[in-house]
Amino acid sequence: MSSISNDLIWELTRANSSYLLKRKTGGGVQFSRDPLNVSGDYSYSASGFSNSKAVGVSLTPEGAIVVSTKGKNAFAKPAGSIVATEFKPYTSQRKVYAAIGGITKNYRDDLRLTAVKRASQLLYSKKAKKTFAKKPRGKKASE
Amino acid sequence: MATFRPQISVFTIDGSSASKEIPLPAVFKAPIRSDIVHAVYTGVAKNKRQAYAVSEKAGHQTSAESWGTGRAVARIPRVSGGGTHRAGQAAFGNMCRGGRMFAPTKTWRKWHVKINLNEKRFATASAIAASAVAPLVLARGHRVETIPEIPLVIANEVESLTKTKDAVAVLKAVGAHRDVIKVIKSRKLRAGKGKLRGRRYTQRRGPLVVYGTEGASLVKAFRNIPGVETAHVSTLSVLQLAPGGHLGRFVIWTESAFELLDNIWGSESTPSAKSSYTLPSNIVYNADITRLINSAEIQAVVKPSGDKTTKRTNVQKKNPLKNKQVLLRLNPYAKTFKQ
Repeated sequence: MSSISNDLIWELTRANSSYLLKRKTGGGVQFSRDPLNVSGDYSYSASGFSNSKAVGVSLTPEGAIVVSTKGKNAFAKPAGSIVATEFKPYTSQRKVYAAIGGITKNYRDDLRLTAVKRASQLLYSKKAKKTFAKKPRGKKASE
Repeated sequence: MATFRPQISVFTIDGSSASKEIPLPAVFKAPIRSDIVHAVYTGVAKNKRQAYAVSEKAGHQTSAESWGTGRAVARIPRVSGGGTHRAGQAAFGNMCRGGRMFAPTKTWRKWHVKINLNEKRFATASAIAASAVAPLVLARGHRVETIPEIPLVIANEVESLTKTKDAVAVLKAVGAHRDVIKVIKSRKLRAGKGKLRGRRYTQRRGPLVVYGTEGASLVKAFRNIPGVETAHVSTLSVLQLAPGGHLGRFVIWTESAFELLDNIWGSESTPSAKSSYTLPSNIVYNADITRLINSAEIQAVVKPSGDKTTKRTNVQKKNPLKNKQVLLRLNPYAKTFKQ
């Protein structure tokens, strides 16, 4: 037990794991399905399961942002080891981003921007697309 | 970094943590070597195969002979006679319709692979150790986010369960039932001919329940839960601990099985039940290299880091022969030399 380090876990799982998503297209891109991976890259620094500190950003069906981090002893006690902060769906985006910055500061500074970026993308995705009525032109306009 | 945890709690069958704690068996500190586990798995997995081959006579049940040269057809043996379509057709060759296959399979193929005993034990010990590391179990695809502790040890009452309903209740109580749901959802029709050969469906593997009492009734209680397998602690092998050669099977131990591990594999204080066997040891006791480097002991003896120098890149190169300031920077003597 004591001999398990983050680096060893990554070495054992980098070639094959349930989180790994491999595509033949795009030059054989590799993505990660890890919920505690904010960038989606399958890399050591981004991976949530092999790092003792990791950040995840997700969206609930109600449209609320959930930021989760790993608590202490996540390697030994899986249940309740993830500390999740859920924002209200109506919380202003700036406040969400600022809070994410606060959560990741002095925890995973390297992931701060990526986490904010992901939250921003998720919030953008739930925004209803504006649709415009087609403006009739030419013959149809005169009818 | 996993913390050092010498004590593992035993959970009752209703999922609450009992006051009892068991020291972690030494086998969980064995080195985790995916290469050894993989090599042993590929060998051991071959040892249950049954011999098969095409008929010895296939493609040769004809008296075909070559027509030789001069008939403007290939010299392949041809079926003799007339009055049927088969007459005059090529035979025997692997390229012929109705001919034998290339290199017909034989029942005396080398079906089994011998693996060195110590290597097998190393792999099993390694797989046991890996089953106690949550990230590895998660990376294998098991849904263990809801279990209270890993390795998961359940009190001995679980061994005397007789009803599947009760077994499912135990799995739900300890948060292991999510892994069973994953198995149920994964059930798919197998691709290929295996469907006709008694292997109609494929599904994932669920938890492995390891018990310590021979003939425990838990085997019958658990055997109809999809994906759940049971094994006695003395018969553990990489086939169940690392299916597909992938480390990190989700293992549920009964208390008695967990307590037997030190007898079977040995520890610092108890010798192993296997004749003159000692567990493999780690080359690096603490594999957290960052922590080692930053430790007070190492930092006390390393040389202090020098002044920080920043190399300016992407600057225009100045010619010291023409630019006096650059010349002086490179060669301070130039000033006196010029005078």
